[in-house]
Amino acid sequence: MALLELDNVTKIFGGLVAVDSLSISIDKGMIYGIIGPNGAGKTTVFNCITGVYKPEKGKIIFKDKDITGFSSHKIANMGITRTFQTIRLFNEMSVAENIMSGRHFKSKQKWWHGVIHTPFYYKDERENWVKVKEYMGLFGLTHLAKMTAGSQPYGIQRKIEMARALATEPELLILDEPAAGLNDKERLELVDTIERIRDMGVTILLIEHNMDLVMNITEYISVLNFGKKIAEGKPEDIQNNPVVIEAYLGKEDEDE
Amino acid sequence: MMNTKNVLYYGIFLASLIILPFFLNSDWVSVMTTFLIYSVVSLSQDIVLGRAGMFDMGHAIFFGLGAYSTAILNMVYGWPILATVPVAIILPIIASVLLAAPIIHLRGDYLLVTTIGFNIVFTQALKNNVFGITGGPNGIFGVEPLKIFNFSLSSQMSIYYLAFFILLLTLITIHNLETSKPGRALHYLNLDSLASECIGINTRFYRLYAFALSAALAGLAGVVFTLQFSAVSPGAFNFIQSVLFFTIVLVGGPSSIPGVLLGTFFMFVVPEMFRQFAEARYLVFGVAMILIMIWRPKGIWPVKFGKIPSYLTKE
Ligand SMILES: Nc1ncnc2c1ncn2[C@@H]1O[C@H](COP(=O)(O)OP(=O)(O)O)[C@@H](O)[C@H]1O
Ligand SMILES: [Mg+2]
Repeated sequence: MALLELDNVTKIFGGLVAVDSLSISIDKGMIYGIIGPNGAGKTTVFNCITGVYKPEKGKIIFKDKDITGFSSHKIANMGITRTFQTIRLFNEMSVAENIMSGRHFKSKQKWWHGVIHTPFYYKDERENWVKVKEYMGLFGLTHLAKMTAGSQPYGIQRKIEMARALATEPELLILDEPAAGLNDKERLELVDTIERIRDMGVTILLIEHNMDLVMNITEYISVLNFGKKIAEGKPEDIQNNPVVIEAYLGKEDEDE
Repeated sequence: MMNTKNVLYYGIFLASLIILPFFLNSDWVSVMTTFLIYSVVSLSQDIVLGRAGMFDMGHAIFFGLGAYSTAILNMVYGWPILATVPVAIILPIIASVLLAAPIIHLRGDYLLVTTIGFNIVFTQALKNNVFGITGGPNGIFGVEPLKIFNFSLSSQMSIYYLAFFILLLTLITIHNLETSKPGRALHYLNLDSLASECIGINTRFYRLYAFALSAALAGLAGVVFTLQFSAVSPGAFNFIQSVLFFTIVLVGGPSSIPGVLLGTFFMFVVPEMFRQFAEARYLVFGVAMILIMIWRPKGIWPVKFGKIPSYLTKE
């Protein structure tokens, strides 16, 4: 049974069809990749899934529930969290506070705990900070706990963003070009991290430009071009698919 | 999560406020009472403006609603002052949620203009004696003092300590806010609203929450204002007053309790110290504000993030 299903999702900006009747199906526990040239509509797909945009047509089904048009926070609370292509951290705040934000929904504090601190508050607060400590340990961020998130190098910022998303304890983690701006060493670490997250039982959907990384890590790939899915399959099939080579790999050769 | 240094600083600050009136004449006790009242209003403004990052330039509305609730219920309907307090808190809460709900999604500058509009409507309504109970342009005079168990808190000294008590309550509330899930949510949505939504924060709810909580505190400050002057008038709650509260937060340091207290001190107490210079002091003032914003854009006493429990970094 599919964890997430997109059924003919279409998103239009003015006259531009950014995502064109896209249907994909992601099974629980897998690492799923979406690739395609710049402007193909990959990020827009993510924005539709996470409720940032409402698609003009089509349905998004998560765990057999139609979530099309739900607000972003509701979708996050149902178990889908994401990172952003351009990193979006709470820059002025500390690394620990950034990760704590991911505990927002799991924390059971009510509105009045912002005014009065009850014994329950202390228990809940401690439980969630301890969780933050766990995630910092997992990503090797403990020594940076008090440091300002915005002043960290990209490699670290990507880790903070992933730790924050993971702190929500999602079922589906969506990563938008997680390797962008990383050096080779950081990229190897990233592969390792993503695999560890998958081993924790989290399904992963990722967009990636770096071909090696995608072919290495994903189990299934959909290729987008001009908003349309032009191919799908296992990494080795995609690599040898002439349509893909023409639309995407060929182009990349020209670019780089 | 206050460290010992902070406990010490706050201890000294509060202890000085407690003994201060014994060294001042009654004029200065009155000035300091005003300082305490306006500190509460500024700290409440900071919840919306500093923490949640919403450009609310109509905060005097909530302060005024609290003050007028007490004055009207006491003078027109004969309620004892103590009984008016819940109304002076709840009415501003309701008003803030009703006013904010339709405009909360607006971007900073649009929100600013809208709240100014609300404030102008509010003072006009007071001036025009709506429902025949606001007393028109002159307001309401002769409000009774607060009575608790047959004690009448009518001396300047007793009102000072009442104001001190309200400030203490406000400081505790804001400290609790800062170290809780709702308080952190305000910072998150302020710094990046989209990222906040995508990790599951209902930004709309917490924006309204910020308005409601700050309106409650401002309303409470309004009660003490009415008791301090035994009177209310529209001029005390016009949009210029809102500009002052707004400025105090920016000049003092958004989200910074010591910053906002310092800001209030500079705006309300320092001018009194230089009374003999009459209007010239305002010139110095304006220039000082400009310089602070240029040299310390995060305020006189900027906020520091990263107050996390010590067990997070241990071993
Ligand atoms: N908010 C938006 N408004 C208008 N056009 C947009 C918006 N977001 C994306 N687009 C357009 O949609 C197309 C797909 O963009 P995007 O999803 O970012 O591509 P990718 O992530 O595959 O590089 C592009 O042509 C882009 O200019
Ligand atoms: Mg993109």
